[in-house]
Amino acid sequence: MVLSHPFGRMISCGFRVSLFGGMIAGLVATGQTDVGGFRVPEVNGQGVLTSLMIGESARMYPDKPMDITNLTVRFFEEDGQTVNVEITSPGCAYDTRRNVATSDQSVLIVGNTFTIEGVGYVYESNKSQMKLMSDVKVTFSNLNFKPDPVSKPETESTERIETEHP
Amino acid sequence: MNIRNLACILIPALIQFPAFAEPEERITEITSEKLFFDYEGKIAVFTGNVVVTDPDLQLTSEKLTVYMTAEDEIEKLDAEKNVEIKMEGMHSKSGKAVYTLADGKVVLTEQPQVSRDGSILQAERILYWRLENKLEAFPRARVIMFQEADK
Repeated sequence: MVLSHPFGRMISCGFRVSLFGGMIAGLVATGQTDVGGFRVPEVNGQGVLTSLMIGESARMYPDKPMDITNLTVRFFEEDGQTVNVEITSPGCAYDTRRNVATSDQSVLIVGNTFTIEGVGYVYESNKSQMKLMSDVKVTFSNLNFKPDPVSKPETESTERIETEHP
Repeated sequence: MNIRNLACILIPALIQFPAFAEPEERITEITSEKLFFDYEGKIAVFTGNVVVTDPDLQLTSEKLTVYMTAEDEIEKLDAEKNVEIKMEGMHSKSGKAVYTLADGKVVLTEQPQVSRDGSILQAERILYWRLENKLEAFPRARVIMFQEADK
C-alpha cells in the first residue's frame, strides 16, 4: 500500500528549500526597493527549472521583512515543465535573514492529488515547518485509508470479549 | 439510421456499461482550525474541531496527528480528545484512538465504547481489526444489549 503524502511531496519538491530568500535577496539594494511584476526562476545543476515564483509586487526594506503581494510559487516535475505543486497567496511578509514567511491572509496549495487551504500562515524554511493558523481544509483525492488485504500482516485470531455479568 | 439516432442509443448504453463509466473519485477531506506540519519530524498535527470525512470513515476529534514514514507514506493516525469514529456500521466514542494503516488496527482507549447492531461494547481498551471486522475488548469488557419493549 502506497500513500504518497501530499505534505511530503510539497516539501520535497522544493518548498523547504529557501522559499524566497535565496531567490530574491540579490535584488535588494540599500534602502526601500519596489519591484513590480517579478518572476524568479530557480534551476537545478542541470539547468532544469525546478520552481518559479511570480509576484505582482515586492517591497523590500533593509531592516524588516519584505512585503510580497499576489504571490504564486510553482514547483515543477523533473521535466521542468509539468507543475507539481502550486502555492498562491494574496500576500505575505518574508524575512530573508530567518527564511520565515508570515501572513494573515489565505493560502492555497494545490498538488496533483490534494489541496490545502487555510487563512494565516507561518512558514519556517530552516526548520521545514509550516503552521496554518485558521480555517484549515485539506482535500485528498483517491486516498485509501483501508489497508490492502494482500499486504496485511498475520494477526492473532483471538477473540477476547469478557462479558460482565450482574 | 442517422447519427442523432445512433447517439441516442449508444450514449445511454455506454454510460451504463462499467468499462466506459468514469471511475468514481474518492475524496477525503480534513478540516480543522489549525494545522502544523513538520517535514523533518514527519508529522502533521491538526487541532481544533478536526473533522475527517472519507467514503470509508468519518472521524471527529479535537486533535489529530498524522505520522508519516521516511517515504512520506501515511503510517499512523492518532486522534485525541472527544474522538468519535463512524465506520463499517460502528460508532465509537473514546478519549483516544490510534489507527495504524499497515495492519488496519484501531486502538481505542480512555473510556472507549463501540455501538453496533443495537448493542454497546465498553472496556478499558477496545481493538478493532478492520480487515477481519473483528473486535477485541479488555479488560473489564461489558456488552449492553438493547431489546425492544414488549407490546
